[in-house]
Amino acid sequence: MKKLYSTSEYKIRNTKRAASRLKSRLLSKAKQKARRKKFEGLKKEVQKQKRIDKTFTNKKAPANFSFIENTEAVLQYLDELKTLFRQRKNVLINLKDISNLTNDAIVLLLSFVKNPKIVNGVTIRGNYPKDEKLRKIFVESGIFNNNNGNEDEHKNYILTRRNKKAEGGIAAELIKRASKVVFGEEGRCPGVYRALMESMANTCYHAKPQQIGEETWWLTVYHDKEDNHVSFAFIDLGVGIFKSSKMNDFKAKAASLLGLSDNRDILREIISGRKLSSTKILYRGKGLPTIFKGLERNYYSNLKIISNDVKADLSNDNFVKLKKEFSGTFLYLELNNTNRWTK
Amino acid sequence: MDKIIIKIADDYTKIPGVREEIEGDFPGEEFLEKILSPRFKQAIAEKKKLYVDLDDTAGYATSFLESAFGGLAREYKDHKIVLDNIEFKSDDDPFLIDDIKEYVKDANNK
Repeated sequence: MKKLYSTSEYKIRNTKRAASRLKSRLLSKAKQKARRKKFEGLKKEVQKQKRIDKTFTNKKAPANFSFIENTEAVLQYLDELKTLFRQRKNVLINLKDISNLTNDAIVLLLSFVKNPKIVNGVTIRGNYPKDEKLRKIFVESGIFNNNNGNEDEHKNYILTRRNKKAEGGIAAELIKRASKVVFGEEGRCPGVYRALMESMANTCYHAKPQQIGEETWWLTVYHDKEDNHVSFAFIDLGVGIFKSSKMNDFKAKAASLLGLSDNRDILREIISGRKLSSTKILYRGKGLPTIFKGLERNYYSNLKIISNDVKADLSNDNFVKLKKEFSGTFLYLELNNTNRWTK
Repeated sequence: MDKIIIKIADDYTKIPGVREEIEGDFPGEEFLEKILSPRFKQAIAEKKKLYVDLDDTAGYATSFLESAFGGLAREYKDHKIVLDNIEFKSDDDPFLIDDIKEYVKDANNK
């Protein structure tokens, strides 16, 4: 009987197989060579770093990284990050090429990347903007550090605090520092305190229905040295103003009696109370109207609110319907040397 | 007419909280229960005015004021008793007294 190895059928198959293996071996070697060439001349640590970086998905941030100015693009960016987190892919937040940055985007990004439920155990890394000024803001924000934004830093450029309850001590401390910057001495700003405390209480009570004190709020205070104002950006990633339990009943009545269905009109009515006073609809919450009154009373300037599908620039009476929803509540206000304060 | 005085910054806190204890420290409900309500009762019994000095704190959340002073009006089921027997002082924030009076008036409108 003829041995298998000596059959012509086997010889043909084996030759083909050998050729194929050789080809892939050579290709693999060429690839390895190309890979080695890339790292030639680089230090071992750099090489190691580059290898690690390759396992991260690079997500380039919008050039105008401002939640206030470029709301929908920033929300889109966060949505894309969220998708990567859900897929458990490590992410590199690439901020190298951003040309504009405001503290509202920092506080939003902070609340996002420091939320374990959103991040889903994924490793996040980030690089800093090339622009020196923007870089400094980011470094001081501590976004890519392993802290939780609550360390007692001795910087006066940007300060961040977070909590789950209404913390008068935090609000008072941040206001004291802000007033020193704006007015030249430590003081109190009862109107700013009021707005911050009200926002914290809303997060505690309404951000997560049936779960009081479960949602975290974030507050960032930024000193714009050029314009000599201090901006306060407050955020929570709860259900948002228009989806809170407090709002449901009110919205239903406003829709049936006043024909209001657009959240922009609802917000206008809540803060002005024009039509409400002529009807029997009562809006129980006093927080939002009070925050708006603070603007009229010159407690602060440039008040903005973003929640669900509404972006409201209350200082300019400009209400925009967002195409992309923001699940949460964002409040922004500025303190400058024309605003009310007391020693 | 003699007065019973409450200075919130000295008698309670310099950093008033919000409505309930579950939301944070120094809530309006606690202030009502421990300080405002007993002193108001005392003022009524002694036919004195209750003088509430609101100055020298960091500020006041609306919910603190509503739960404390609105809560007092709810306790007496009549805002007039409260407004007739309390005097306020607020040099730090000139709008505060009108706000409180509004909360007291609205307290029983449910």
